[in-house]
Amino acid sequence: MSDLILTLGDTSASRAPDEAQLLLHGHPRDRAALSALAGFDLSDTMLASTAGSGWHALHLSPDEWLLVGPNGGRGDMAARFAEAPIVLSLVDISDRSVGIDLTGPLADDLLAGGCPLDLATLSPGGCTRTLFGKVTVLLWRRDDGWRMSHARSYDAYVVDLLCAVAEDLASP
Amino acid sequence: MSVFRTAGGDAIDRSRTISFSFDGTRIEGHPGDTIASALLANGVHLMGRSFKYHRPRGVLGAGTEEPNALVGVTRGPGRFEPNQRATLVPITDGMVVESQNRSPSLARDIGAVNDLLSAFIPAGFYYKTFMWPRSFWAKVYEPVIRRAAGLGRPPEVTDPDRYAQRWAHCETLVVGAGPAGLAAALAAADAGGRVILCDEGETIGGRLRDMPRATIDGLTAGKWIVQARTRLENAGVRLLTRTTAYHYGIGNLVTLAQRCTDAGGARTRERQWMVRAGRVIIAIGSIERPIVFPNNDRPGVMLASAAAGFLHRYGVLVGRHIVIATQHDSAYRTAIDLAGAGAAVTLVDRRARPAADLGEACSAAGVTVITGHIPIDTRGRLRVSKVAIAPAPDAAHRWLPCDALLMAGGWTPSVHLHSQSGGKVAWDAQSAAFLPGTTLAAQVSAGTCRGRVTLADCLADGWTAGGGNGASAPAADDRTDTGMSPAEPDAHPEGARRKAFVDFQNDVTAKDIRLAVREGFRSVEHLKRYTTNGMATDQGRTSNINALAIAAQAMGQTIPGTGLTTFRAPYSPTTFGTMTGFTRGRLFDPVRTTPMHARAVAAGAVFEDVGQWKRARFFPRPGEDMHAATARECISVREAVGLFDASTLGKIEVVGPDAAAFLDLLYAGRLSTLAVGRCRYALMLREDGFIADDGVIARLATDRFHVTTTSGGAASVLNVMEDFRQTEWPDLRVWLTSTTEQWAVAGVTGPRARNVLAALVEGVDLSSDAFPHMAVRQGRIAGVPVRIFRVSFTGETGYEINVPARHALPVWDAVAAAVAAAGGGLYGTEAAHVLRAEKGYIIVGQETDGTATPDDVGLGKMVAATKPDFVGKRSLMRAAMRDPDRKQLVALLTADRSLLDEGTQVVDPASPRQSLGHVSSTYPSVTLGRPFALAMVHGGRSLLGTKLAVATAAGPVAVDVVDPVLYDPSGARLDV
Repeated sequence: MSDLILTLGDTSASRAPDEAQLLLHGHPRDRAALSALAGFDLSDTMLASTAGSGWHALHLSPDEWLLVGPNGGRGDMAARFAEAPIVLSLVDISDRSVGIDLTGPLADDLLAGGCPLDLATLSPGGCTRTLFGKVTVLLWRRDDGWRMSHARSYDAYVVDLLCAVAEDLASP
Repeated sequence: MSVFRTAGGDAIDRSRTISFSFDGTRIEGHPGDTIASALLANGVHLMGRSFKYHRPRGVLGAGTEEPNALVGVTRGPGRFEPNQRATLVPITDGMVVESQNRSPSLARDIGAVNDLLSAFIPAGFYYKTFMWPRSFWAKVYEPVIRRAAGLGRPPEVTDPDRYAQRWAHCETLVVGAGPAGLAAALAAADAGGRVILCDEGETIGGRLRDMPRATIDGLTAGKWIVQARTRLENAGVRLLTRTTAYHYGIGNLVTLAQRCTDAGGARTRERQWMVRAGRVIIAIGSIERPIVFPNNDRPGVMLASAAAGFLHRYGVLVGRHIVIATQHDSAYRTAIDLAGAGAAVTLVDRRARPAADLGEACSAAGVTVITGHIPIDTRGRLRVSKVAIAPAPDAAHRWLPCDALLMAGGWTPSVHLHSQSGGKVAWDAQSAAFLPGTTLAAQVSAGTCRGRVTLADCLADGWTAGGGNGASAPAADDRTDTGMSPAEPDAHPEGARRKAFVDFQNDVTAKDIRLAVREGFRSVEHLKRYTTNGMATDQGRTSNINALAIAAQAMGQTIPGTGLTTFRAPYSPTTFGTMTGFTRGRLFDPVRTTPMHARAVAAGAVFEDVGQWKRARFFPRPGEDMHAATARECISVREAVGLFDASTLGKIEVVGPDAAAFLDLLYAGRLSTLAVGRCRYALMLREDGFIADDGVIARLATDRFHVTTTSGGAASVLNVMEDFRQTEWPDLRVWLTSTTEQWAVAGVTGPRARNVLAALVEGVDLSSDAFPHMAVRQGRIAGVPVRIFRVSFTGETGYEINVPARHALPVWDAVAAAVAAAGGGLYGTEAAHVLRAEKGYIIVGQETDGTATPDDVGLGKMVAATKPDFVGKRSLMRAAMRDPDRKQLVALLTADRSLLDEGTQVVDPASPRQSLGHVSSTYPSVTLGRPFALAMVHGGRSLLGTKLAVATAAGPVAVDVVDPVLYDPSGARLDV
């Protein structure tokens, strides 16, 4: 189902499926109420994610959670926040970025070709905005590898850089 | 093969012979040889000509310190590199090596006349001699000097090889895999955590490789190195050989240059590692110093450590009759080793009474020792043939014949990386050297680079630095280990007339340094720059301390009282390829494309760069140039309908109960009065009152605004907004979300725009009453939910259809088909610019230059001056900002109907030497039937109806000053 971008031994990079992405801003003190609206607990630990009923919430900054879930559930989730009695901002950004899934033993090394972060510091579920080469990306460590997403206009650059890094990793 | 090969050498593979050419001569060697070792094995010592005097030179060192033997290396088309150190470049079969800085040949070089003329080219000669006439500097003096005194020729074609970069993180980075570094890495690996060990050599071991008779933990040095490698690999230590740590940055970010392969091709040639280390252990050793005495630079004269390296690593004897001049102990080991390999060795020690056991060891090995003597001169044109020794420079001398003369002037600890880390160096009297002092970085030096002398001390020091318990350190047994014992730097005595070289690469002599001191230079930094000592690519590895000693002596000061120059990165010459890494070609900078990019390509668009974006500039048909295509596109918009990709416009969704209050503070206009479903053009000012950005703001709901920005300003406007939101007005309940890339935007504009939309849009009443100009509606096109903004940047009725980006293409295709059916077509940014200029609409950054107020560009009415506050309000109240003589936006029409150039000056014909303003935009206009220009002119609005002139290369051109709205001043066409 997903398009393959590259393989390197048992490591591969492929297109992430289309998903709904809703960017939720709200006051940290309203986290419980926001969680109730989302239908699952939103993390109070920065750069960590939680999950529930098919959705994930990535806690990216003190007042910011990125809700990622099935495309079909987008309207329902947005509706829950529409008439909420608390102050918040919910914006549909499902079309803003595209994702690439990196799996396999060399996934970390693929990212290390452009990402200055110490990836070992992100445990499963961990997420952060960072750089891949010259582009801002969102990194999310999932059970089966990394999801890297970036604004869609940068896609050609990101794919080219991934391929260049893969060529270097393949070089003895 | 050669008489200079011995049975030893741990680096070379004797089973194979390969060959390369050196200045056209075929030279044989073994895999593992460097250019220098292969040449020396064949008895070739002459490898280059010196920088300034063109004196014949051979190698001085055997490694990174080499100042003389710089060569150009070619490994096939595009693979030419100048200025390579012959001591570092491994030979490959068929490679072509050329010497440098000589003409016509290395042995017969006409530039050598400089050596005879040297009285006329002393230190700083180029500052003195070539001052007049001034005009001669750039055209005559500098090119001639550059040709005569230079390095190799630059490469001329694109480098075909691949270069890479990689980030790495570790708890411990050990730089240098000599005895101290290996011990440190072993201890750190035992302690746990990620360890990276790098060394610039072809293999690990460092100076330990030159101590084959030493034993560690009961193993010979060679076997211990092998065992250490196995232990490190088993412990998961990342071991990087051929890798130089060349930059020590803040936060323990150390940059390494790894030479992956010399061959290039499909493999990565060089890789830059950016290592973020918890702590750094610097174990980069020390470098031997030459002895400063007359004619100490002939081929065959080299450091004792170099001869040891060539012997032990490559199995090469640098001569058959070797004299070693020393002033300390470590040369004794080398003397014994060389004698053991079959050379006749005479050791000349400056000291009257060196330690007795050293002399006994020498006698046993057949080495002749002469004490209380120093070298004072040499002979030999292209290779040293004899050396004069004497008890003192002016005492009676005798000549010793030789084919190699080794210098052991003492050891200089390498404090480069320590210094780069922000660490201070401190003079240590006992070591007679500058050693690492205090530092704020999480780093520590270990081994000889911090003054440790014996092998046992170095192993223990590294082990402790790596976190090991001192008692369990590797134990060295080395009966001939005399250590790198301290030796005072050599201040060559005054008075010698012949050249005694201090800096070999830049041809600086002891006399030059004394001259500089006599001429008043006292600071070491000034001395360095005036004499150029230490300024060559070797960064004074072999020369800094000797130069310092001479300067200190000349000034009657101590060495620490004179001071040391600063060390800067890179530690070692590093290729642009390494530093560039992936960042070339398509990866030089991201090229951003819109979701409809492929459609523009298919339509034959010519693109222009707008920041990182590619935007379609015009769509030429066969035979059309830009002007013809743009004129056709303009007519299409004015008379029918045009379709424009406006996706690059910045978009920010501002949401929250205080969104309106926030925008009222941020923008000059009033947004709180905007009705839901309506749009307003707004200006964002900087705090200085000048225009920063503009855009249309739509109110989607009471608490939700869709803000647009210029394409180039999208990121900076969002940053400014976040800055104010978080720091100035944190009480406001509002959040910002960038939606630039969420929405693809198809702009449809022209008298038939409404008809085009009517055929496409579901769920929106397009009548002007229901959907007036400057309004926003939500509907569907091709089943996709869209936001439609009725706005115009052309002066015609216009709609900007915002489509969720992943559905952009079907909607775009549907709209394009409808536009074509209505007799219209695509238009590009060039037509868009013409159309907006005909209406007098500004472009931020074109009409504005960071010093334009809203009133300057005729937009004073966009400022809601009655608002209590907004960014820039107080600045706008300053008298100078209300001066009627400020530059104001006008249009200019040339009397001769010529097209003006952008940026040309507007003048009063009566006094044409004073500028009244400048042309900001200029276009031919098919709509107006003539070219026109927009201009910013002092007091421009008061000059409407008058005649001015524009200065052109052909002379002043008369212009009429007119109102900037040249097309449809009533605005009737906005609602057709």
